[in-house]
Amino acid sequence: MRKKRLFVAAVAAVALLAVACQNQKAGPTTSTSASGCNKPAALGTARDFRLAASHTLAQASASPSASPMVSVSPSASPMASETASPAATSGTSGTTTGSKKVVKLGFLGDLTGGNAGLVVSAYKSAQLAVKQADAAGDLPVDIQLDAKDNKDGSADTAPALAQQLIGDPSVVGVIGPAFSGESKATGALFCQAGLTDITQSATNPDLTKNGWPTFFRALATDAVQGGQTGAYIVKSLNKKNVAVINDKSDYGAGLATAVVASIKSNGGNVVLNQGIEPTTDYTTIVDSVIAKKPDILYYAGYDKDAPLLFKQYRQKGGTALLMGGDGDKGTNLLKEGGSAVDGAILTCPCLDPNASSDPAPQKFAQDYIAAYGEPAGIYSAEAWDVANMFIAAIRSSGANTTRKSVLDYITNLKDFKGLSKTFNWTPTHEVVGGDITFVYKIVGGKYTLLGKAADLSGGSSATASATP
Amino acid sequence: MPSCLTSELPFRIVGGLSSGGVYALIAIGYTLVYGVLQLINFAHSEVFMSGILAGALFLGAFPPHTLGPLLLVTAVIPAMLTSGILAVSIERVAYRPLRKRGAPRLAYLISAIGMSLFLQYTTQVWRGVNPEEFPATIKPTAWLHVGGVSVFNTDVIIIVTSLAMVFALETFIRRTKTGRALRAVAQDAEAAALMGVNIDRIIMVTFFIGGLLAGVAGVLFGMNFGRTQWNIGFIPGIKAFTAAVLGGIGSIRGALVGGLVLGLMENVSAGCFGTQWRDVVAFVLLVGVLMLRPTGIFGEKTV
Repeated sequence: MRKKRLFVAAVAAVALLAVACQNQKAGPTTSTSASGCNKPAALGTARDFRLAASHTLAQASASPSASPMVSVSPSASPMASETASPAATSGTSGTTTGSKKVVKLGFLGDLTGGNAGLVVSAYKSAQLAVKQADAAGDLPVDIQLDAKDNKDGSADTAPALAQQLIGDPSVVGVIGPAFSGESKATGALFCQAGLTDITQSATNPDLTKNGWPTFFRALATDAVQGGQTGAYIVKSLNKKNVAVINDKSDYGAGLATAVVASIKSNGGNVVLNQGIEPTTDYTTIVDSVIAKKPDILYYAGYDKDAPLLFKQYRQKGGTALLMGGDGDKGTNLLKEGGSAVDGAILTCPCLDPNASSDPAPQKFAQDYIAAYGEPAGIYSAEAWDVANMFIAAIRSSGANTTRKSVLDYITNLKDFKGLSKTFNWTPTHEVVGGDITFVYKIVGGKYTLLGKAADLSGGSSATASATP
Repeated sequence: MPSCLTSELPFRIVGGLSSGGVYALIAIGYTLVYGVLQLINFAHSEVFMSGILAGALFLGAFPPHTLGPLLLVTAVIPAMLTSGILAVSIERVAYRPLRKRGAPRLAYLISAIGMSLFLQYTTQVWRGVNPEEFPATIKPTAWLHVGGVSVFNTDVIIIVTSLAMVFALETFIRRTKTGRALRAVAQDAEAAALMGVNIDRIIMVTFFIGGLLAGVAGVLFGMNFGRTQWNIGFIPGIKAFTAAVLGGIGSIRGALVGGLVLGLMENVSAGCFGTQWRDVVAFVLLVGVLMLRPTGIFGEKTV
């Protein structure tokens, strides 16, 4: 009898540990720091978006050290989503492989996992940029894209994929990583290798504070987005009471902090501010929101989870206006959210080329539809810009392109005309005057552009209105 | 008094009973198997997952406009059968060979975890990593308004179904011949065998019943949250196991009470301390109960 009890207690302890590990597990990156390549400042929180439930009991109760365990290239992975296979058109540009030197651009992000809706479009845009450059016929080298599929965008698995790119000497630049946690986990590695990485979508403000000379960011940060969101809610929407929920990822928690601060500083009221790891059962948090009767429910997280939360909130009779940031503005929110998310408002530092009135983005939007038979999704314009920066760097050095020549070219970039904005770097490698947040609304199952947040809220918090 | 114990409390109770009902149905699978074999069947969370998946595939085969409450009730049948058969197969493949060789307890535990991983990743390869929709059959509508609290039809369905299933199971075990044999095996397997009870058959029945209830739980879960995925069983499985231990593992009523108490505690504590603290409070409660009553609320008794 006693043994039995002991046994049950032991098993219960294992279960307890498993859940505790899930909630607490920190994923320190295992990088040996070299001069100038600092590890991320806050290692304790260094784990980004990850399915709470994706770790099985066995994994969770094992040692929590972050081990590079999965390395999947898209060509080898089963295509799970309805999105077109990146492998189908993978990289190889045109027919003129012959005698030209091959120079590769890496791409790192979630191409087939739950958050692929935030990444696939960027990848296809990078492909399009390479294809267009190739079609011009004057490329001095053969540019190929080498995509590394980091399923679900986990920070734990990103370093292994980064190492694969670093290990290939023909890779001279990396587009991405797509998410903040991935960027944080790989920044020091790319830095040591002297390999330039420009992210088209990682928006955690702290990323550029690590002092990595190789890391650049092609869009505004969560601090900018969050700051303008508060002003927009209070001044443009005239709403007071906001419930803010985040998914406890590097991205979600950072954005939520910025949103909460700006709502308060603009005179609004944050009635609820909580984090919840991605799950299926949002009952408890939904009840909390309903009890507070907010005017707005804001979710800082990713589009894999947002529709579940929003649907369960609507099912329970919640009527607040639904809002979210760029992480929520993927295709899955529209698909899985259905009528529950109609009228929802999303902010994004990204330009939707389909909704733009400028000729260059419009042309890109048409080219994209012609190439893939579907409209360009989130971060497509930014990824196209990043790819073209790299292509310009490669053109300028021709067959002598090295990692160093690319880094020098990108670092000294002057007035580079992109679709989303004109690029000049600040000393920390943010875009000069790039603090733009666009506001979108879901109407009839589609994102429509309402305008720039700063303009909509009377320009009060606008510091710059740069080119489109 | 904080609002979580006054104005919010009715909400929390309804939400807690609804979560707890599903935990209870899964917990019965753990508790029955433990009662008969003194074995924790960790692969039970995948039995639950197979029920959700079977329900989703069944409903997905119908055109959307035909979906309704009647079809939901029908979907319970394939879900129950799938889960029941899977549970029996798990017993055949993962436990019976060990039992025949008189393996130590630890071997069963490893075998269970291995089975659980095998089933999860097989499903992942088969269905992919992305979540799939569990087709909506019932439009959630508020049935009751009591003192400003809306009680939704989905909550009522979950709570009533769980209670009914537990009652039916109790009756089955108390009143039928197979039930008596089951109790006999639980009390003393050797003596039962000497009295002519076919132990292998009874063990199969035990797993099958656990699977049937997990199938029902799966459909209820799918109805409530509208999604299925390869690893969706993990968290509810852990919670249900906790509920079984809390109520007193081996006891059916214990599983019910444990599930409901756990659901309530999670929801009420989420209101009082924030959702972040939900699991902390739930497990502190578990540890607390085990310290005072090591055998759980109802005491460890065998079926």
